[in-house]
Amino acid sequence: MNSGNRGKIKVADITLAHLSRGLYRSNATVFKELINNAYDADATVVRIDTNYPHFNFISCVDNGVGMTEEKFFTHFDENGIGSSVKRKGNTDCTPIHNRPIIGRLGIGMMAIGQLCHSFKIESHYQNLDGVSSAFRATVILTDDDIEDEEDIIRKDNFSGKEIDVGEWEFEAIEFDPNKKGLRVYSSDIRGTFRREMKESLTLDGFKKLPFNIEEIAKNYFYKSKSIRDCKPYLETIWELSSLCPLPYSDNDLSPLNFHKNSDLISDNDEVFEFLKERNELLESYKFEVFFDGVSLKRSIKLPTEKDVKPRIYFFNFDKNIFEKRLKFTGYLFVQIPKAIKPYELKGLQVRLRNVGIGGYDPSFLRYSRRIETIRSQWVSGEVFVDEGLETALNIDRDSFNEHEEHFKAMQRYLHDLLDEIFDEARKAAIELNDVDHDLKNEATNQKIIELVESGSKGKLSLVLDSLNTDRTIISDPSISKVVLNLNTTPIGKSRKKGNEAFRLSMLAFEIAKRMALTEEERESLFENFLKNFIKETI
Amino acid sequence: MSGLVDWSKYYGKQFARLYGWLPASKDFKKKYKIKKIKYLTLCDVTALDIFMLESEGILIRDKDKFLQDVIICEKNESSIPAIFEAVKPPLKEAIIEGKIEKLLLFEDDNDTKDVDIYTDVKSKKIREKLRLKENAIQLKEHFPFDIINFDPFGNIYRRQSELFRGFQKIFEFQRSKQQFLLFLTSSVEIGDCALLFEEDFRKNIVDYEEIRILVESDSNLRNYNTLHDTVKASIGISKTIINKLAIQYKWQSFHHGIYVYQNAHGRFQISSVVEFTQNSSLEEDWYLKDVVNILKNMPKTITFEEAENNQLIKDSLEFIEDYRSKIQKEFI
Repeated sequence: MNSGNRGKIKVADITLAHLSRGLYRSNATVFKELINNAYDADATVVRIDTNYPHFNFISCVDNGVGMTEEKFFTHFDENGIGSSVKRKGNTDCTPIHNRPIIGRLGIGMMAIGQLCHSFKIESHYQNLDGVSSAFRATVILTDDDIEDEEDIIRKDNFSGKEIDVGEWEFEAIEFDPNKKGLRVYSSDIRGTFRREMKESLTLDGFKKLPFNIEEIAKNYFYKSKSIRDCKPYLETIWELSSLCPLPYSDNDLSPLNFHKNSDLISDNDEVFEFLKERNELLESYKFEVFFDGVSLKRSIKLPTEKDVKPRIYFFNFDKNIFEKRLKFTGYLFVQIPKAIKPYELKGLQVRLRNVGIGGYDPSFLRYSRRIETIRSQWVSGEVFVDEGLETALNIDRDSFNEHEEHFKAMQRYLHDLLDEIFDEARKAAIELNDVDHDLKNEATNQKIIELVESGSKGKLSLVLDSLNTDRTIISDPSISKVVLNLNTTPIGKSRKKGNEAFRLSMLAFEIAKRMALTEEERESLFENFLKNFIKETI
Repeated sequence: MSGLVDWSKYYGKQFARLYGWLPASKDFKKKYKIKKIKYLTLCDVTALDIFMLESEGILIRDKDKFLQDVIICEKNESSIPAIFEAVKPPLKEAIIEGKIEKLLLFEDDNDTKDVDIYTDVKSKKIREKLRLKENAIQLKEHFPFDIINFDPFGNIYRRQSELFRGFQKIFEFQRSKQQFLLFLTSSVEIGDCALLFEEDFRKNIVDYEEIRILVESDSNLRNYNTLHDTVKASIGISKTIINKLAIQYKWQSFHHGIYVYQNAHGRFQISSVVEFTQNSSLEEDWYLKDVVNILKNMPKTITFEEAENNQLIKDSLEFIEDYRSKIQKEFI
């Protein structure tokens, strides 16, 4: 090749072939693509069904505008998957509900190919002028005469062009106004999906799942350390309710009600106004998603633990980065000093055009300035990106190119903020720990006193007289009470327990020794005291 | 003309539901003191039969509002989501995909025998067979039922057809029940029907004195050729198909009614409501009694216009739709 040559970089068709073979991280991200399509088509309702508990049928039905025949042919025949650009010209919002359009390339529908070998599309299209048409098509991705992608790549004459990833059949049908919208469905489901979903059936109570996202959230999600414990079916519901462009739940599963928590410390009350407005905006889009009959809502319960100090931080960023506007707003919620449960709510959820990207990121966009293993578990937040960052979005719409400038700018800003938040959290935790430690000591001492009083059968005063020299026990004659010296700093949990056990043994021994008249009685009293102390205290 | 059915205005079918299916179901539940009726239906997406039976207390939801004992067979994949949506809450194990006759007739072959149903086979044809197998097993596991609403697309009276052979299987699969109620609905192709049943009818007259007397005393029955084709067909379905199958599979039948109605396109449909009991305590003359019962009292016929002008039918359909909306709203 001559030096100085120049050329355009092209993408081989085989690259796009991957789209039908599995691009998505989870079942939910597959369904999310179908839901996003319905959202972009101005549907008000989209229903996904999996024929639970058999999982042998999947359908996604929406009542949007549907798909034109032309679009089908463009997509499947002429230009290929990913050619139906959704945001031509200045079109950035949907015509009916004015929703910011999510899709860009038009590859979402093929997502279902990850869960099935073939699927059907039925469209009853009607535009705002009343023009209508309808068709039904079958798309087959796996069959005897369809070559596997791996086999194609390994062929000697493989050029990367003209890749057939499947077959389709098209049939024009009569338009039915009752079916207006798009239906994507399949009963040719991959065994892997079915097996995985079937695993969920082993979960206690699964067969009587409530059809209400709030109840599911309270009974399963927020009772688990990790959503993984809820098994794949509920995991899918969690992810979908978290990722879809939906309003929050109405009750205590909503950040809108954070302010009702009297202990909440807020750096800026604008956060509540922002959340309210954002929720109203999402409600104005009039979009509902049902998954096997469950109406999905974003269900965020914070704080997740009792006896914590909750704090909320508001942020708002709006700048031009490399001549392109980057605008994002959001909040970070901290519960000091306990980890957020479930695990999947920890971290930062980036929402681009209100759609969650990749779930909550527990690394906070790879925060690595300091080791914050403990404190990072106290934080959960959402970032709403309304402008910019889209070029950083990878093709799976589930992750970012982390070297893109908008991503970098957002990362820097949030990491600066996190530096402050972690500092404040650390100080607050220390204060809380001191108070907490004193309170705990007091409570333990009181318990010991009660036990000694009940165990000494009225001979406490005799015991007290002879105890005041013991290092383990401090007696205070002014209040006629015996208290346990707990001033030893524990090292580790087991060490702490060990120390306590030792002290309690000593206490039991000393009391028994002073109360008993005989050796036999001393042994018996010692045993009783020890049993009581260990049972009640440790 | 549009081929789509507007179920909310299909009053002819409501005629069969209201005067046939509903009273027979009530009687059946009461007579046999059945607390929870197990119901198999091939209902359309509106599921009107389910909501009618539920609204009248025949089908019961459990404390969690699940209609546990209802199984729906649906041949059309694209209708399944709509049925899910209609019958609230989404029923566990309720909707079985596939043509009823194919499900009932399924038998293993080399492609399906000893193959794990979750296997991702490359051949679409084999995957379809495996899917049919799985659905067929599911359906079979749900047998027996108390009430079967066999309302397939097509007609039942061609003995070599898959639909007929599938229908036959019901009598085998119901073996462990002492009694069950059947609603059998079929479209009618007049010419075929008339030919098919005439011979049987004439043989009855020769074989049974009571039938001969009945026919001679009835001016309508006396001259077979003057009978309306729908009457011939409806009586024929009951006598030649249902009663003969009952004999073959050792059941005894009793017809509660035969209902003939017209759809918007003028085509006639027949819906027979029949109670079957095991004939271990066989009444020897049950066949004769039922044939006489059929000839004397059946069918009841309604034209499209008559049904459309019948206020009782319209009100009852509206009532079911309101009830359905109420139930559906509870699950939003």
